[in-house]
Amino acid sequence: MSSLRYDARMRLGTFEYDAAFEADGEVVVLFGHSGAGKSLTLQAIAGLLTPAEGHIEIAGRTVFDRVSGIDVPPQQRNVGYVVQELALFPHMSVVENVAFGVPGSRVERHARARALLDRLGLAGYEDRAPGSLSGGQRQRVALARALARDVPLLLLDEPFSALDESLRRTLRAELLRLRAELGLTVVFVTHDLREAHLLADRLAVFDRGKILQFGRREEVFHRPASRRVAELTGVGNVMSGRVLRRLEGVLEVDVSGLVLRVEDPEWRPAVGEGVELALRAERVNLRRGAPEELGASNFVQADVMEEHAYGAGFTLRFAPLGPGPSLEVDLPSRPYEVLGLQERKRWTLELPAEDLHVMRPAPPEEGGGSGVSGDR
Amino acid sequence: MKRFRPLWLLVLAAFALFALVSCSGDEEPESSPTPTPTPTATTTATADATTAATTEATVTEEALSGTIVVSAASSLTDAFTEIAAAFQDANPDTQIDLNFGSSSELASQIVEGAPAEVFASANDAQMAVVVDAGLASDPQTFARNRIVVAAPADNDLVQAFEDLAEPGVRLVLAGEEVPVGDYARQAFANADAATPGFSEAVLANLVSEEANVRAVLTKVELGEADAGVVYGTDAAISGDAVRVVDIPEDLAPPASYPIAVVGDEPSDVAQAFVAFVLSEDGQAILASFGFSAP
Amino acid sequence: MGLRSPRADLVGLVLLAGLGGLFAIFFVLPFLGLGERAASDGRVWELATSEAVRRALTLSLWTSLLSTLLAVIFGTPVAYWLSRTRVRGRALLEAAVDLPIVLPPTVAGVALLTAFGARGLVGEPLAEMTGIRLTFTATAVVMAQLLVAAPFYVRAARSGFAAVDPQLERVAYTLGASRVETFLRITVPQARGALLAGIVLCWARALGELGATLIFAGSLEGRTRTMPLAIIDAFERTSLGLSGAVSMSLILLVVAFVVLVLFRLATPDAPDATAARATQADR
Repeated sequence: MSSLRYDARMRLGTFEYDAAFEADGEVVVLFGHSGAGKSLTLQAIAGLLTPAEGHIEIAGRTVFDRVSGIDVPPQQRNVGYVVQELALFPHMSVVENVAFGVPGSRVERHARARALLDRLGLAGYEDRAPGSLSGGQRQRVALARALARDVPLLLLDEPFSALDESLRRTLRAELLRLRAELGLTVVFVTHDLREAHLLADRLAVFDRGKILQFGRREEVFHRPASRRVAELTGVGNVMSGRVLRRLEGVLEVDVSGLVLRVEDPEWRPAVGEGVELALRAERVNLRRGAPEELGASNFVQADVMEEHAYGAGFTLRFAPLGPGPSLEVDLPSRPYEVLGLQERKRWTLELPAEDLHVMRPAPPEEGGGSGVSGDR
Repeated sequence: MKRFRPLWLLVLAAFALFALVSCSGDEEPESSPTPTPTPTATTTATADATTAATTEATVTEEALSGTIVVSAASSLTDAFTEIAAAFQDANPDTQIDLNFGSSSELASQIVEGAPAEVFASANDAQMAVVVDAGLASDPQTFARNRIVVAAPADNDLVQAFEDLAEPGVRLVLAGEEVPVGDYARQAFANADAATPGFSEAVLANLVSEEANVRAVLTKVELGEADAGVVYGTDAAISGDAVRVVDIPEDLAPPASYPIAVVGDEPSDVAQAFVAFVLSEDGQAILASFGFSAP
Repeated sequence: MGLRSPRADLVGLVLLAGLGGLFAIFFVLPFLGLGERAASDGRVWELATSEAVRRALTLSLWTSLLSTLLAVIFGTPVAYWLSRTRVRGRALLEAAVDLPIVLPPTVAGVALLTAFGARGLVGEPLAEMTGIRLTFTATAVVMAQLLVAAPFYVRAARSGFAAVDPQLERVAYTLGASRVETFLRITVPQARGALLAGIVLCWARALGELGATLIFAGSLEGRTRTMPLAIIDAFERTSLGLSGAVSMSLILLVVAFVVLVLFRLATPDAPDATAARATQADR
């Protein structure tokens, strides 16, 4: 029995929406640009928006089914929903906010609310007005309020986006701990790649109202289904090529005159067929010495063309001396210094055959661009 | 406020200018050409009888000019509008501003200092208020009017004066202190002699006291009231919409309309206007609107 | 002289202060006049306690309170709907609701006559079938006040509701609160200030209603003569005259002032809500 089965289609003006995924006792991150349909998905799950077609099950109960005409109102769906703006009730105290949805007598409701607030480190703040709390505290109150009713499913819409980085880290860790303790299923919306990577058990990549890929985190990050997914998930290197040879467990692909070996491809295209290759920027190795000395293939000599420092590391862009595409390489600060990249700018890059991922080329009308059709 | 925006300043300036203009305007009375006697007129007026012929000539030559405000009872609305027009035709340099209202309202306005050169009241009592305040003297009766019961033409609840006492009749009167309302109540009281309790029964049917005779008539014309007491002159004007029920003359003697010049130094125009109302021409116009001669 | 020079700033400041001062004087003087007249006129107190004034005040108070109550009962759903609907022609609807605010009350009175008068659209069949005639009754007074004053409440309530974040309502739904419960526990408390302001405005307008009442309800002591009508009536009477008008004006002034002060005391600016708004604006 899954905690959530979701399948919905609808049309809002010119925006076409079609998404399906499921979640079961884990964190599913809905990732994509704003306006891709992530928040819309949460609203449809919560019952605040009625899809034109589809089927939604929460904890084994059908809450929406177009065919049989089921549409359970939001009041009875029993999900915890935290919106981006938190929407704490400003005229109520912290404890009243949390107790709002709890059934039972006033004493019971407040006891439950106090217990939850205590658990979230907000003991002593019960009678404060939400407006007098800090951003992180308000965030916790919103979380407590959403959880106060013993919900099996928690929907979080960019809950940490307004907070500073250190606080976000704390809250993420807290969320994971809480999830594990309560055995919750969490659907988490974010446009932050690192946040998605940190929290997700499974990941749904949204783009213009569609889910491009839904799968385990590592799979989505390392084996993107398409060039678009690779771009959205920050793969770094997406190269177009043509199959030269098919060997046992190995493909040889020609990328702008550079021949690359790909090991264990999931998909075996025919010789001469066009393919896309994806390689995460942090997977590229920097080697000293000429390519000829190092091995038969997947080495290319290149010069550093651009450098971007971002605190924890560097993103380098290399231009090959010979034929081949320009390449992006992510390097943490320490190796950057140890290798002496400050002085030495010419390197041999190794593109590991086992990390190269073959993708089908995008159909012509899809490709590139981050078309965003308004905030939803 | 770090920056002064020119537009904002402009608006301010315009506002200030406007305030200035309206302030200075207030210092002078609204009717600017106050009709003060011209020097010529004064001398001719005080000249002795030997130069009577010259005086006569000067008066006719020296045309009247100026603006006056005439406050008149609202029952005089139509008649005085026509009289004022005729007067202005004869004296092109004059202007008569007419101010109609209930006589009581006009009287209190005049006592409170409202501008008026002539007061034409619908009864002697309200004229007395102005005279007692020392603002007018020598009122003259210039017309008489009778009161009648007006009823909607399509409503036959009230056929005779006595029907006003029938329960369920919705009667509208002018307020107690409005002359026409006063006359009506006097008539009911007078009927008490022959029919004891008549007045009380009629007043129990009262549903509204209106501010003036026109408002009473409107309520009758609209069919909201089953009957109202108004002047015969008013009933005549509203034509087919209203049915007139006579009040016996012994119960309601015709009302007299006094007129007087207001103020210590009456202007020529004001005096001439009063004279015109009392003249044959004025009386003819009044007669055409249903007033009878004094 | 540049507009940014300190001198220009000073001149502007003086000009502003002068204008504000004149304006203030203009507002204070009429009330000073009223007070002065009341103090110097010996009859004012005697008139203020007269039977006629007592009846007018009683009538004014209960009719204005009733029409305000009716405005709240009937106007609240309309205001809420207007604040949330996206129906086509909403602007037109809002303009229609606001219409009585813009029109002179006399127009409202005439309009009421054409609808509920003896020969009105509804008034005529009503009188024929039931014998009930609305004109010249206290009901007519309340109707006149309702038509003229209710738009003030609806207008205030509508903008009050519109200012409430719909997200709050939606979150309340997901927390299991029904629509009615959400409206009462979330929306109304959030719009409380606007609703109270609307109620006071509506009540004040109903209390001061003159034109529509005079035309539709007439004027009869104890039945339809409310305070404003009694003031006009007194003003026209030479026996009471200005003294009567002054004494009743003062009473009305005192009543209105007491109510406004009570209202201010009853609704201290909630510090919680203000703080919340401030922090939200911060983000």
